[in-house]
Amino acid sequence: MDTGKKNVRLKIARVEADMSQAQLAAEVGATRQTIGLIEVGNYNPSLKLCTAICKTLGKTLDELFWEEG
Amino acid sequence: MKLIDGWKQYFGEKDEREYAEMNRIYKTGFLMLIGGLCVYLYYSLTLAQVRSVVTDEMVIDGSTLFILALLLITCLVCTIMQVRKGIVDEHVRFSDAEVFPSGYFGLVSSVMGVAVVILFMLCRGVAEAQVLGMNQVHWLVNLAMGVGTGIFTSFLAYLVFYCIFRAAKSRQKKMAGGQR
Repeated sequence: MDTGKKNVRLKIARVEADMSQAQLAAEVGATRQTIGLIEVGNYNPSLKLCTAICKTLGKTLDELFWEEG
Repeated sequence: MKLIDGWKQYFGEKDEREYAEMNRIYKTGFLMLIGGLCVYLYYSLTLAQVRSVVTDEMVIDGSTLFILALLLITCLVCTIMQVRKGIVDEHVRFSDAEVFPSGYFGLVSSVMGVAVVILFMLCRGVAEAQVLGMNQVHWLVNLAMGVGTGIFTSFLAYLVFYCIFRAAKSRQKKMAGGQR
């Protein structure tokens, strides 16, 4: 399991889209725990899952997953 | 095929994290099972050999031979699958190496040899104590025989690693050629 940075941008985008972790998880074919772990930075998702999350939340990969520096 | 598709539809999508975690868990279980079976087989065969000293007849039951065959087939299938995917090792440093990483595989082979020495000595010691009695256990002789077996195992393991490396590298080249 990865222990990276918290993904606050994902959490904000999800809340803005008025979705719970469970709803987002159901949309992208993952479990609620997985979405929770991505948000707290304890799981590094595959590109396939990142893309599915971005499409569901109407964001780009850069906006949600790109880390500067 | 329809039945399989229906079955997949019923189960739905797999969560990639849980799938990866499950694979890791089963890998641990597989390694424990393989290790346990090796110890069991080694002890069974040693016990049969020690008993043969008393009875002049070496008896190995069918179930032990079946497990031995199963173990060998399992290891062979895993190795073939690994080579077909062009995988040498999960670490990039060794998997991407153009020259056989003799130091790394030498170390792994040596560790395997030491494990065999300990296993040989313990199995034979326990088997002798069980069949002939505690005062008939020849620890030094067992150690010497164990060292011989361990050295042989190390060389054999090194050779197998070398063959796997060459075969995987050749497969990697073929796969890279196909991608061009």
